[in-house]
Amino acid sequence: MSQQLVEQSERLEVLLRSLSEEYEGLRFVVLATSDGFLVAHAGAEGQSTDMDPNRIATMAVSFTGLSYSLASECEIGEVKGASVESSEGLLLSRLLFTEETDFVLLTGFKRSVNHGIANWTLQKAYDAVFDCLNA
Amino acid sequence: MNTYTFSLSGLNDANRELVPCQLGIIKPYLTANWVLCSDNEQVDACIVNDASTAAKSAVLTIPLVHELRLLDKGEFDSPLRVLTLLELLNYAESCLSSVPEDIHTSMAEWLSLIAMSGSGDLYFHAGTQTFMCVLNKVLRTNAADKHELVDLIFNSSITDWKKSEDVSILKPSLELPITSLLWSLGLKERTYATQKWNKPDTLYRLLSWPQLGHWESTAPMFRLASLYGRKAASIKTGVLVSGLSEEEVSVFLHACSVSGLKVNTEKEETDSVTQPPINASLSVLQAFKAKLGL
Amino acid sequence: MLLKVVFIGPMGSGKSTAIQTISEIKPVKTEARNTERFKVDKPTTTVGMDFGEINLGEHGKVALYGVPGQRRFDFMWPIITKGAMGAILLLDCSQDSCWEDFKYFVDAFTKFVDPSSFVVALNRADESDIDHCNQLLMDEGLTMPVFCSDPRSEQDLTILLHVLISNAELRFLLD
Repeated sequence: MSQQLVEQSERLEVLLRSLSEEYEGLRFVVLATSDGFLVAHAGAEGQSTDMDPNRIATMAVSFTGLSYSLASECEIGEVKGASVESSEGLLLSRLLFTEETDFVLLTGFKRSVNHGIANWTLQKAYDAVFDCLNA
Repeated sequence: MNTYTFSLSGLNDANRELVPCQLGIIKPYLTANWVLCSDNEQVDACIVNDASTAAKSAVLTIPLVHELRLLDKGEFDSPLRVLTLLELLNYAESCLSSVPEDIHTSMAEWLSLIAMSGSGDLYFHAGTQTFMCVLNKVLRTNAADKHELVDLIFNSSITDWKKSEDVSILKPSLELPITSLLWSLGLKERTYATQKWNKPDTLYRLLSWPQLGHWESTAPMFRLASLYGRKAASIKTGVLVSGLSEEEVSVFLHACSVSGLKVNTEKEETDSVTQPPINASLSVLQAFKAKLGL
Repeated sequence: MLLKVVFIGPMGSGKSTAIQTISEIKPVKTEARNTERFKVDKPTTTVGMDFGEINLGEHGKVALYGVPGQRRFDFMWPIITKGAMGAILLLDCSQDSCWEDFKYFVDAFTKFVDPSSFVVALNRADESDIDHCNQLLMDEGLTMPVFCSDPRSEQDLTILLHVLISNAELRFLLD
């Protein structure tokens, strides 16, 4: 990671923590470089001792990258989010493009959150992180 | 009674003219039939007047001794008298008949040893004025191309190549990896390979792969490499999986060995491979090969 | 029928390039900007997988998969290698970590793929590298085909595939 990004990661951690506190139903947020390095996270470690934020970051990158490739292959236009729906919750992720580096933003939601709210939250998180990166 | 050929080298005209007559006299006392040939022919034995001269085209060279001294076994004095000729030819016959059928040394093995020695010695073939020198796995030569050199080495014997101390005289027009040349040379040595490698009750195991596709190779060789790289197997199994003859499988193993690949041998315990059925999986692999143009 | 060939190896060894060279379809890539250019100087790196294809007509297809090479993506490896008929391990011998990577990848992937299905392809290599590689294999009690191979060369890659096919044929014949 670049020095600039290392310095930004603290600010990003604070931001992600505030997001997870602000939005009901948002369990955790993970931000990674698009080639799989963890930049910042909030809440991912706390869920269970088995959850490794670094591992989750890398997996999110593979998953999101593949989703974007799939969407492109299916010719369904600009990707708004890649999702995993399961019995205990919902994961949504999205690629975030900046001039210097690209990122993957992964959000994890409680089961009780509906898709619409989750997508809206993802967008809010995306905008906040984007502004922070470009600040 | 065996028949052998011999020639004369460096003897004066008078001595030369006498030999056929001497041969007629001693014929009943010889232990083999001896035929006198001209100088340039490939012969079994050559009688040389000068001890420093090695016969170019003879299996056995017998120099005549000019000094007045006690002679050791295998030494014969000059001039060549009739009884000397008798003893000499009987001695030559005893040497030649004790050499086993496969006296033809593998030139590939000889060259492989030179390469392994790392000496960088220069070898010179007088007949064709060809040089070769092996150092750091690269062979340098003034031969026109690899095939010409391989043919030359294959058709020559060890005694045809003389070591030369003066490395500077080598002006190489060709450099090539020695392993590739040894591989090609090994593939030509069919008789030797069959004698050496086609042993009953023996399994062979390749510990590293030949550079098939880069070296001279055929499609069945890939299967042989897969087989012997995977497990110890007999020549017969090699025949079954490759469709080649026993001789060709032996040649493959020989070429692997001389090009520096380790080939282990084991005594056969069980090695039974039956004719495989053609099934869908094999046909799709064949389709894949066909697609690749193989 | 679908045959699966997997290209494995560290980042920058030429996996994506190799698939690009022999695939009959435009390869599907999952690439992202490389933030480790100090390690391997290339603009992008595979983060999901690469996918290509060779069509065998009525006989089926050969699917070509490339894994992401960085060790942090190792969770993808068993997924991508599942059911592969063979693995081609690509290495760039100009990289300092080449032999360490070699040992690592052999050790890692022989858990997912039969060692007799491996082919090792050394890029930017010479005969001494082949010898060294063979010695490393012998030290581990393994025999694998080792070739110098340029991932941009269709001819070189064809040889590797031929070896894979021969190995697969032998498995059917002997097992």
